[in-house]
Amino acid sequence: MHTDSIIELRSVTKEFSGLKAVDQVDLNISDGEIFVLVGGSGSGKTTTLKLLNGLLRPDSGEILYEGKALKDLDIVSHRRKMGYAIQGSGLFPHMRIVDNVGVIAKRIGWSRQEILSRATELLELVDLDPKDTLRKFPHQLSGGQQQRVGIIRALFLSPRVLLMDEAFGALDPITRKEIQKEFLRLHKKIGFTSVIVTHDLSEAFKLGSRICLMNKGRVEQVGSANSLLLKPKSQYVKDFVTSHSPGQMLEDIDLYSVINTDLIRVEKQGDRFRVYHIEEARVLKENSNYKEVIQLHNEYGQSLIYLCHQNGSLESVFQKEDFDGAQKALKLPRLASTQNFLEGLRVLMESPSAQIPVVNEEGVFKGVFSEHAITTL
Amino acid sequence: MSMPLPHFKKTRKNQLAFHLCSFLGLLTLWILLPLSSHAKTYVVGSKTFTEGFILSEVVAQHLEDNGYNVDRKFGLQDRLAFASLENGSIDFYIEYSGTLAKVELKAQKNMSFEEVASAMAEKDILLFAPLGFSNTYALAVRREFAEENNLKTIEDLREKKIRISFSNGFSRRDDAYPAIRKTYGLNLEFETIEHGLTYKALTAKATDMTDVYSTDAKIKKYDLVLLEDTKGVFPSYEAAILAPLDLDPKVKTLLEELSGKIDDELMTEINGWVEFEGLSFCGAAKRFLTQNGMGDPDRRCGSKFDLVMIGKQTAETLYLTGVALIAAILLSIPLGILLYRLKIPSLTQPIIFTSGILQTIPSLALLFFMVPIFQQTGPLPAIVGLFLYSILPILRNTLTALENVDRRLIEVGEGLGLKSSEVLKLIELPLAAPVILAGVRTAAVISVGTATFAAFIGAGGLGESIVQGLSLNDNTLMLQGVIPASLLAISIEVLFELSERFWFAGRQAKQA
Repeated sequence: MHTDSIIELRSVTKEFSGLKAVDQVDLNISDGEIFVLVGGSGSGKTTTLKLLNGLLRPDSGEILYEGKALKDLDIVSHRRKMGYAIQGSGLFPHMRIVDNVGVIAKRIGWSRQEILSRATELLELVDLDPKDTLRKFPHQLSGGQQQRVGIIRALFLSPRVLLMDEAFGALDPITRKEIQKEFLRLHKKIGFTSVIVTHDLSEAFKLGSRICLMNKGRVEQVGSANSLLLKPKSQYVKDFVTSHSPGQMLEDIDLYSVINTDLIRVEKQGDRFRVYHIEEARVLKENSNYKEVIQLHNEYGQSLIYLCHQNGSLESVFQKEDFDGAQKALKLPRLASTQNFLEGLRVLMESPSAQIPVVNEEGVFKGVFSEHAITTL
Repeated sequence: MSMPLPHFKKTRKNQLAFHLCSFLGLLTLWILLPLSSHAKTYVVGSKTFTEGFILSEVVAQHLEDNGYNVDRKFGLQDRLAFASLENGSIDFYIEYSGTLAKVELKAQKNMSFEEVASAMAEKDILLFAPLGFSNTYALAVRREFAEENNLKTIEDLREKKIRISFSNGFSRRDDAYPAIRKTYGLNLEFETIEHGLTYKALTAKATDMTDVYSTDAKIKKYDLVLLEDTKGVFPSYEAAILAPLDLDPKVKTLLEELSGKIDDELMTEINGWVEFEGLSFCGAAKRFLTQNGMGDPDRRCGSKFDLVMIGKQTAETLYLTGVALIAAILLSIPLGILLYRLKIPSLTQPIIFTSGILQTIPSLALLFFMVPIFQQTGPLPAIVGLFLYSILPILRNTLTALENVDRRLIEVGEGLGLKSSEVLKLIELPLAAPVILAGVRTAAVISVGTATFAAFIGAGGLGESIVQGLSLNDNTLMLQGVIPASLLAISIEVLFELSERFWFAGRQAKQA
């Protein structure tokens, strides 16, 4: 299945005083993906991560890195090929930033100059002023700045794999969002493989190419955010992604903030139509006929037509092809923009459609909630 | 926080290495020099009371004036003086025949001077002919108190309710209070106090009766009355010089010049020179020697307030604590690291426990224990005692500090690919350093304080002034030891504080 696996776990088990923290786990982590281990506390996600860089040794089973058994590799040089970042940055408080990020580079014989220029390059990459930052001690930086430094320390030697354990966990929500965005940008630019541990489902959804939900040391399901949400393999997964457990944060997310507004709505104008783009807040065309409406939808790559009354309140939804006056409307549920993400998710899971229209208090059509919203959290 | 400059680090490192090397070099010299200077030098000891100090000083000066090198180990507590002579740590001190008979020979009945001398000879100790005066214990009360209570003899104490303070030695020695109790059938209630404080207590009316030495000049000065010993319990003690039996005959002849030179009256007078005229021991000894046609009239004796002496004693104290502390650091920090790395509780706990036990032994007692172990008095047992005392704070802090280093930082260090030796060097030790240093600081301050007790076992230091001041009831002299010792402890605190601020500047102890 995964011919390009960089890391492979084969029925790996790790016990702590008789308790199986990781139980018969099989995993394939592909080159270049962001693989997120998610689960409640005690689910075994952090243990799994520590098995990958040899901080813990499996009791049974095998871990392969680039097809070679981890136990046969020199662990120190293996670790140096993998970046490692933890919650609260894990910066060494007694070292200046430059010494923190270059700690391994110095060990393997980089010159001061090389370290400085690499540190400068990386700091700039995460929007930190190198001049100002290099000679500071960690506590002189803000939490968000420390976290960025923690990540660039992990990336210093351009590792193929970056391991992160709750690396964004200790940040306030706003900073956290910023850094998540930055991380995705870095990933896109540099293209490393990353394995991330988090207890926060929305973080998992936002960052993960694939998400591995763990429970009591076992893997419940591996897949995309959508497949976890929409095709849960077990009751546990279903409960986890929708319930009050660690996914609780979903309830705090206003639906209005995640809907897709990059679309057009069609307002009745007598027996003709006014075509209006919601996000751009402008009329694309007045007095259009059916054909012209479909034409515009083709141009904007939109397959559903949202037909509204003159005041913008949603009347019905059509497949583009069915919009011909025959009024073959789709039967779609509606969401109010005041509902939260979790409620939206529930409706989406019950609905055959991939997107649910969202209306405000006056019934005015404001956008759609779709599975894409999950990844824009 | 503003300490670092762009290329400061590199030069600082080199400088540091250079300083470290020269420091270690000097350190070796400093430790070895005092030990290597064992040329032909006679060591004169003394016990801890005025007369003892003066007479030992007389012997010392008489030797010096005749071209011998002399090392003074004055102020040896009680039986330590005799023990030091036996084990060769000192060559001379002045003792009383009665004390030798009762305490060292454990004689049941009184012995004549000749009997004591021949018994000493069997122990390879030479007892010189008496210096000429005899001293004895006596019980003293204030004159008006004696009159009010009609006290004339020891017998009169019967049925009297008076407050009594005895010095430690007196309350226990067979020839002292126990003899009174036995012979007179008196069961007195008393408190024990340091001998040097007895007169102070008596004149301040804090007590009504104490034990004194009969030649003490203070008896006359304070107008005290001695209770008559009608049953002759207190034997008459004749003072004489003690030396090893194989003493160089020339030196023996030289010191025999002193025999019979001091009678009771003169001894009381000489004691008075020191206690009331403010003469130093040196000055009193010099005056006595020159009055008797001996001595060196050009000898320079400082006043009691003697900066040179304070400097010398401070240096001695620093030497004792410095060597002990460095030895304790060299043992405890590596041991702490080793125990931390081994992580074997069944090994760690007994070691911590043992060093904890050492810490609970009163410091004075610990120092005294060292004397029989090393068969000598002087710096060596003192240094070892201070060393044992310093182990716990450093060892415990090293272990605690390392154990309290944030686990996550260690793990992230390992996770990034540091070897475990690098984790120790780069993360664990630097993060533990402030707490380890605090342990060293505690040990240093304790050591400086304890080092004052070292004077009791002949190791010198600022304790010498304290011991002498105490026995002379001389606050000025005592403060000459107390003040520099306190200043030393404070300076050490300040020094550590400053170095902590310098080394750990700009960083927070615990920051995740």
